[in-house]
Amino acid sequence: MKKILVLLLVLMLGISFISCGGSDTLSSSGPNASGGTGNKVQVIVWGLDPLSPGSGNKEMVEAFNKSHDNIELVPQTTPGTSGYATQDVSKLLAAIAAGNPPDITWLDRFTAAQFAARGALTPLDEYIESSGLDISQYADYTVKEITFDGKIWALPWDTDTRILYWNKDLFKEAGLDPETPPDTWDELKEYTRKLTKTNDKGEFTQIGYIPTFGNTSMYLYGFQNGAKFLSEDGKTALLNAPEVVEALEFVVELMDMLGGAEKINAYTATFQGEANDPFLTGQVAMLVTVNNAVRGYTRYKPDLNFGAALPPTPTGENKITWSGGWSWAIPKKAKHPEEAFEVIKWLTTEGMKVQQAAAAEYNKNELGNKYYAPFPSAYEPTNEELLKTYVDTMDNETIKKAVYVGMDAMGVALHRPVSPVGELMWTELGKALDKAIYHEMTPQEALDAANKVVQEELDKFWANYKPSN
Amino acid sequence: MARLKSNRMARKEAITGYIFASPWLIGFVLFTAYPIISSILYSLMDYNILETPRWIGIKNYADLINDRSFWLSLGNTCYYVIFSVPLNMIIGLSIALLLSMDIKGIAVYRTLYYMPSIVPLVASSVLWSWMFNPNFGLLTHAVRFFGLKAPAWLSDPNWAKPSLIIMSLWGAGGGMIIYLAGLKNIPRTYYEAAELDGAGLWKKFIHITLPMLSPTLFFQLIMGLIGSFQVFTQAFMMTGGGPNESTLFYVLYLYRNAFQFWKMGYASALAWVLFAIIMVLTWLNFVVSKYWVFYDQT
Repeated sequence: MKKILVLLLVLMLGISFISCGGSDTLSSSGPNASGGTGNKVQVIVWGLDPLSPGSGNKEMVEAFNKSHDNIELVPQTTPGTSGYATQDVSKLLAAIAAGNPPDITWLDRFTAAQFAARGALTPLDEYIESSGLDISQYADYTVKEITFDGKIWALPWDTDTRILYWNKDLFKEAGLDPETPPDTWDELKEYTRKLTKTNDKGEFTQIGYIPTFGNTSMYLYGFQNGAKFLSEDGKTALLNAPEVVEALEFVVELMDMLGGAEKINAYTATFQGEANDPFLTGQVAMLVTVNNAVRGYTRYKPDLNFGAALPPTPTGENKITWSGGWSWAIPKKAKHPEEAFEVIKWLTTEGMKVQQAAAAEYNKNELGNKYYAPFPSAYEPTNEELLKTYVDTMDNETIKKAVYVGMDAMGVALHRPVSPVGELMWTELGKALDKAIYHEMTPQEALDAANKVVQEELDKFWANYKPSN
Repeated sequence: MARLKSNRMARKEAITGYIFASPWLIGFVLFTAYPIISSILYSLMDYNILETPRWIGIKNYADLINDRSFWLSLGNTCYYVIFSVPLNMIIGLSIALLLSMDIKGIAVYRTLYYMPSIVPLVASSVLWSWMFNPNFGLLTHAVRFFGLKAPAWLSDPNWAKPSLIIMSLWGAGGGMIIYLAGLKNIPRTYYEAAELDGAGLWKKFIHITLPMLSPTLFFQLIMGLIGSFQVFTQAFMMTGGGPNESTLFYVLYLYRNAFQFWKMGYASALAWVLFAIIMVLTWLNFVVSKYWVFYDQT
């Protein structure tokens, strides 16, 4: 009798362990989950937070669910997917490796190739064909960024560009023409010198331009100088090409001219954000950052007298910018790939409009802002509509021009190299930049070291690569 | 016949015992032993989580030796450990000595000093980011109060590690509790005897308190070493390894290799190297301990 009781007890314990781990933990946690009603197919989306205030996500999800009888969008948040946070993909990696991925995931575009190259995503070409989606309507460089090995691995969602902003009042003060931004790298140096002021203690009160502040990275200066960073076939790392070395030398020169990285660091450490953004407070006269920064400027200081243009290049010609952005991808072994494609097709074409409308409402009602600068969509027809609705109606010429400069920059935007070691390249370039500006290594040495690390990983990858179907 | 009977009964009891212990055993094998063994195996492979692992033998370990970032992260971590552990011990002990007095309301102070060590590390990282704010941070104000110029704390490559060390001292109260218990265990009679011989405060401390506390100190030293070698959360949350890699700690570098560069095999090798380092240090400590740790003879 006692033995039976003992066995029963152990059995109960065992069952309780198994049942608490085995249920499908992916469905049923979004607020829109109704627990699978009827024969609606539930499509799980990772990286969409319907509770994020003012994002318009809630309205977008509701609009989708209302307009699609057979599919229900179940959104779930994942870490590091808001704004410019580096996406934390550990949860996604674990889910894909376990064979239990979400149907759709939000992916930083330049890492899509990393996933695709290792067979973690479902290629979208057949779905694009059968649904009649015209992929050419997406901005060219956004599509190129998610094309690897001849296939398309995600649908681009949004994009950003990097442009030069300058404070016209500070220009006037320094005796420069407020309507003419610097055109060449030499002019940038000269203007920076004229726009930098220090107090009697030698501390900065105003800096003309900080090459590492804002949103630039070695990609900006390298691309401007004609660098490629990666060979056409994707097998040779070109981080230490002469063009990149020259670009880094320019950055170091600029930093040194201002007094060195440590001195500048002490000043930038006092920068704050939002309403006290250094560009708004006049601490920085010029900066290169993402076009979306205009949203902050219009919100906190709509009367700021500023201008926007493409960043200055070594010779004044070949004005370009680089772009990043997000995308929606379907992991391999997703349970409902066809329905998932329906969802992402709607999200990138129609959904963005609903989202932006709700965000604009919030912007006006809750935040009390007069102007709304929409997010640039990767899908061009949507983008045109957004511009017409929100920007053309603006009565502030400064802001309208700045938004248009950012949008037009898409025409000359380059994407970061499509590579299975994209993250590593990004980190190594950042490291090389730091080493050079702190004078721990010369630009050539720093880039040689970075190139060596990346080339090793590339070689390892290509030696073992077998194209997946 | 009697021996056979007790064998059968003993065996029955043994089986019952094992059945009762089986949930834990199963849990241990599945969630502890299996991952540990897998980790050792992965350290000998090239594994990127998404594809099947490839056997490469000890290449990961050979690569570590030439990896500049490995040595840098190890150096950063050692710097942190060398300052954080002794300082934590000294401050913890000092607070414990002060709070070992038997005055009214001492329990309130003990609680207050202990509380910081139970605040979750992520929450305190966010809090301390603000404390270290070069404009408004409390620390900046404190330094300026003395008329000195405040450093840029976490934005200055020379001050980032010291800032994190200062932050770790906030949790010295955790050690205080253990020292208090140790202090309570020292018999009053030793102090009384010393006072009769005319010993002053300092002599009492050096010749009675420290030796009697040495087992506690030893424990704190070992635990401190093991813990601070694995410093990660603060760097992950507050600095991301910067500025200029000054706070790239060993475990942060490991995490990056695993989840950003997808080199699980290499990350596993890094983990086992850390294990080996901590193991060796702990063993050395044990060897040296017989020269300074006195176990109570009463």
